[in-house]
Amino acid sequence: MLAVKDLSISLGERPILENFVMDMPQGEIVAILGQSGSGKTTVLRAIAGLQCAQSGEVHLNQACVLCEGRCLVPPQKRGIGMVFQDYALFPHMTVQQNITFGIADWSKKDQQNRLNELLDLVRLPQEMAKRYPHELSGGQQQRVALARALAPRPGLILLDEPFSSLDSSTRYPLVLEMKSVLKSEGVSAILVTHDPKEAELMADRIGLLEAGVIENWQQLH
Amino acid sequence: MFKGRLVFIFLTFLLAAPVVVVAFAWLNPQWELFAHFADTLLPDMLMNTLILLLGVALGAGLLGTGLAWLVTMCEFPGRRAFEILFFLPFVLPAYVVAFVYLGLLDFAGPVQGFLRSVTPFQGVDIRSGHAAVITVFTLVFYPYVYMLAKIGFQAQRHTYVEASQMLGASHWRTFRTVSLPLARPSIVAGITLALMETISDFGVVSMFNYDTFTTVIYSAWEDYRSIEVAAQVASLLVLFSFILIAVERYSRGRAKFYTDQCMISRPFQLQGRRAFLAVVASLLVVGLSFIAPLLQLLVWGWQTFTVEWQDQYWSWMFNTLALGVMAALMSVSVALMLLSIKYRSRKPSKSANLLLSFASMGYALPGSVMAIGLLFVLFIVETWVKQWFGFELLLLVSGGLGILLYAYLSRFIAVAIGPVEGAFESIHPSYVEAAQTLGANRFKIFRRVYLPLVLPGVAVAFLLVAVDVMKELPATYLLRPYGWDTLAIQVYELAAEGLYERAALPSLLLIGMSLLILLVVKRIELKS
Repeated sequence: MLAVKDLSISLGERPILENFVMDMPQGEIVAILGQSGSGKTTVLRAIAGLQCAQSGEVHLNQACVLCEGRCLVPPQKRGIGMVFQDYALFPHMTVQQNITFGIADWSKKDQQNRLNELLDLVRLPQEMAKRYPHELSGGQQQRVALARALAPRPGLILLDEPFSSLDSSTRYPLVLEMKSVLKSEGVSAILVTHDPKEAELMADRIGLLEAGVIENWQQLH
Repeated sequence: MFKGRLVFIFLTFLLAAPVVVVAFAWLNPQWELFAHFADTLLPDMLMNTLILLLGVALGAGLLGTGLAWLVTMCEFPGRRAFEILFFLPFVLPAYVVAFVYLGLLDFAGPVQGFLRSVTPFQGVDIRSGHAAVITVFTLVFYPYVYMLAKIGFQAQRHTYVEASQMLGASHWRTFRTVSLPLARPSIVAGITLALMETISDFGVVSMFNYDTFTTVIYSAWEDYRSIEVAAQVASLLVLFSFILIAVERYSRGRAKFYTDQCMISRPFQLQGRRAFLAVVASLLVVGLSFIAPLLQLLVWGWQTFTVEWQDQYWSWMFNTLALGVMAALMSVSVALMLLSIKYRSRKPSKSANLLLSFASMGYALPGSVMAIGLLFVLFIVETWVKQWFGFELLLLVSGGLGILLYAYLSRFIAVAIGPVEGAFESIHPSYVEAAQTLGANRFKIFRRVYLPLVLPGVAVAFLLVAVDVMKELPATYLLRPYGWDTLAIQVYELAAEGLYERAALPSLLLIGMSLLILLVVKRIELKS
């Protein structure tokens, strides 16, 4: 469903990615492991359409969304979900408004059904729907961010270090929980992280990104 | 500690006194005069004021917010320059822009004259109706909205825009549902400032013969010598400002608007037609609000220099600068005193915050109202002393400069508290504790930790108050002692006589001095 070919991105004079290549079928969860500054977030941003490139291609469901470095399809038209490192929950909207933001064109009834379904899936009580993000704990915010990204039923979800601000006692149970949610929705996902344990728990396949290139992929499942 | 608290309370009450007094005017209502105004002037003026405020809120709100969004969220050619240029009309006093546009666009002006000579156009009186006066206020006061809206947009995480895009929202929906609501408190604060400046104005409205609330206040004071009625009408204005602020606060509910992050990159890279449109729109705004008035002033100033220049200008320039510097020194010293008491404890108390807001109320008060409030205080003191001690203090005559400076201090203390408090807040208690554990004594902590961190804020506060005071017209006009005419007074008096060309010289001198100060502020801001 996703194919990245020879993607090269530089920021100013500094090369971030060089001829980056990756393929993934529908339903797979892939982890990209790397130190800060290794370019792992840049990979996600290019796939999302938030960043264009110097050269290379990104194909989504056989369609070229980034060709010869140029962004052909804007982020809002790619049908990709994303969970940000800081969650980026809109602070002036309730949990319900956040989750239904991406499905505003659905009927009210369908929106409500999807909201209830997602709150159950990410194991948040229904009464939380009326709360504001700053009234939730870090773990709860993270679940809302995942539910929001899943709401429009995207084929692919990008996870940009979503566990980095959680402490280790809540982090690893949440990683497993998120994996089961993604698998039950049948959605593909790319997780970028610097934590090897997180990658192992979550992914079917892990790639180590060093100096803008992944030399080997390790198949786990 | 106790002494500090007493000083704190005394200073805050002293600063708020003219505002409190305005409200107390209702204790002695003069119903007959009030009824006279209610029958004659008030209905029309109420309608005029409402239309004016609505127009300026809409005009300055749209322009200021639009420009702030453009420079914060979009990258386009010349963005860095426009970011500063949009701010420049701040140095143009409203009455200067008003007379420049009157001189240019009035029936007898060059633009209408040219149109009459080449087209069948009969000409219009731009003084009639609301459009011209609303346009002038919009062009002059949009920088308040721009400045604050920019802070509101910059305080948003760039990931909010990206998250909205990833959820399929169009650019317009992202602006309407994410960026705009998050910046709303700042935008409303900016519009409130612009509206307060509008209702307190007396130069522009008198040049356009446009009667507003201020006209009633002046009429009550100048024609009927009734401080009470002037203060009563003024208190309605203060009430209006508070209602505006309270409604906005209430409407926020439990939602949160501010984050501790800031916009680190611009989400929209404008190219081609969009970039071209952004540049053209920006040039149009800067041209109309700053370059055109300035060029016209330069032309008039050049033409009338030999007629208008007289040695007295030296003293007017000195007075303008001296008042600005004295008021700025006083405001910054009082702000420093108040804040150093407030930040003595690790966690400043809620009552300290409340008292500081109380002391800052003067900024919500039009300059004219502030003057009336002060005159009212002096009037009460005079009457009281005469009644009890049998002699006349003649404060209104002899108080002179002190009264004027007190008015400036009470009105502009909020302008000084803002940047100085920002500087104090940047000093985390752990910095001081770290210095203590490294063996630094109190003097060393002050010299090496506090001073370098507070100094930029203090300098910005000093310069902002100085510029505001130099441009100030209504309070200066009403309270200035003999021999203390300023450039602002000279501009107003020449323009009120219709001598627009001659008013260009004092205007240019005033703008030049303000611009110089503003450039220093920008340098300090950039350095810090």
